[in-house]
Amino acid sequence: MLEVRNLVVRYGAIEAVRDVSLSVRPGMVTAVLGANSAGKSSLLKAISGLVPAASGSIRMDGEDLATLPPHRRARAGLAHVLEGRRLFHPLSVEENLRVAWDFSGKVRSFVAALTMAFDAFPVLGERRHSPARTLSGGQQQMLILSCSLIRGPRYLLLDEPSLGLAPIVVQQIFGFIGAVAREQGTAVLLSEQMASLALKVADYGYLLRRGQWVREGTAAELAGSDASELSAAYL
Amino acid sequence: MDFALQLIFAGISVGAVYALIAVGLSLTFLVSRVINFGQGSLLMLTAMVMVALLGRGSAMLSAALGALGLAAILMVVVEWVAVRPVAAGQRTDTMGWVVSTLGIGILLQGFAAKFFGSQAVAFPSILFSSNDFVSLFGVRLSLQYLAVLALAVALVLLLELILRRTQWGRAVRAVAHDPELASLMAIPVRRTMLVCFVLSGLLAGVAGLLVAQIAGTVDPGFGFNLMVLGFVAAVVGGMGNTFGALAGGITLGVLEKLVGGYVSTAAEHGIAFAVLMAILAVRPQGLFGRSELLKA
Repeated sequence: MLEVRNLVVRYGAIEAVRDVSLSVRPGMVTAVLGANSAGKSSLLKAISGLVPAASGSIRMDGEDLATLPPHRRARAGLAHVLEGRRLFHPLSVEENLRVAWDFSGKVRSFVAALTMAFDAFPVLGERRHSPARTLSGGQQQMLILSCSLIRGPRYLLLDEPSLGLAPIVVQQIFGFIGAVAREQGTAVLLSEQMASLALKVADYGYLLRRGQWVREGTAAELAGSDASELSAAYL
Repeated sequence: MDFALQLIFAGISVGAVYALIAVGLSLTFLVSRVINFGQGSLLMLTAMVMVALLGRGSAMLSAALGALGLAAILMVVVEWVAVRPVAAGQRTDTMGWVVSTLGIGILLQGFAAKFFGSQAVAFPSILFSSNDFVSLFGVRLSLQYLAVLALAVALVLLLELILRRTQWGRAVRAVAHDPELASLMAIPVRRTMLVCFVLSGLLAGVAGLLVAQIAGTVDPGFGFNLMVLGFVAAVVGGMGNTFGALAGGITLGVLEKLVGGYVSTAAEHGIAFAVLMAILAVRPQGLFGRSELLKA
């Protein structure tokens, strides 16, 4: 289980995350909802170690992550898909997957890992020698997900995976994320602006507003809640 | 005609060394976004230290390895003192690194002048003697130049092969493109950077020994011009492009020798700056570079 307790993230004088606590369980998709600047990205970056936590604790399976740099957290089983479809653009599809696999535990051979990725998204197999920058937005997001999953992470953080993608691609990707959580027992933490979209795939959700906890509940509770309260979080 | 061919051959040979200097510069630039202007002093120090070690009775090979080892260690120091503090937090846009890397270079040059004297000292012939020639198609080719050419090109190609084909090479290219993303892929970013600096130090050291071999003498000021020539070769070829560096270096070397042979040897080094200005004006990303490589 991934447990965040009373987390505070500061950039200079600005508090991006204020006293947020949440837990992410294996086999479940947990959503963090909120408008732009609600602190969702900062929360995720603090978990993966890209930004320091000013106070509070982050524990993965009981182990405190505070002193671990990002690459050690990644090695411990954490994957983080950044906002904005970041990839190693000059490298080919296969090289991107290879770099991701190189520094994993290498539980399976690269060929086996590659086959798994290409089975999930056949289009990546067709484009395996193309530079990542030449892929379409949807294909890039598929490659990013494959790069994260090739390492067999136990925890997967996803920052706005729907951003800038066509609705049909978003459906495919969200379906894939849900399947990963259920079938591989991965604990998924999904940050999303589009609450209705996220609540379709999520089991549990937290609502943030200006870096602060507003409310939490099962997806059904949040989706069925007073519409005014949900929208208030976005204002 | 014979004269022209000999100039061109000498140009290709020294140009390959400029390429070696260029790939060393761009290797550290790729991962740190800092151009290490202290590299010239490392070139010079490697050659000076080798002469000093030989003077104390070391064997040729152990003196060379000792000098190269020192270059590698000094490069780690340069990274630690002059690059990391200013590059921290990706604040390379502040240009503080120009002063810090140039500063440590001048400091090292000062040390060299203090310990070894500011006079030029003779550099021994390691690879053949300067009088050994072979004849190829009627042109007399110096064996020394040939050996230097072969070594420099082999090292540049070897580095390219490592960057393309090995796990470490892929890590370097990943860190070069996006260090944050690389760290999320469990790549030890700091260690990767450090390895690049060590390797760059070794490349600079070898380049220093090769140039000293051709020149026959070394003095504390000898590295700076070479570093500038390597920098021009890198800019001409496109920063971070190995084959570009090779083409840029060789073009520069040939131009330089032709100008030196037909116009005046005093104009030799000036030509590099003319080329630099022309390239920056016409094609700032370099002949073979992609402009996107230098993302902000």
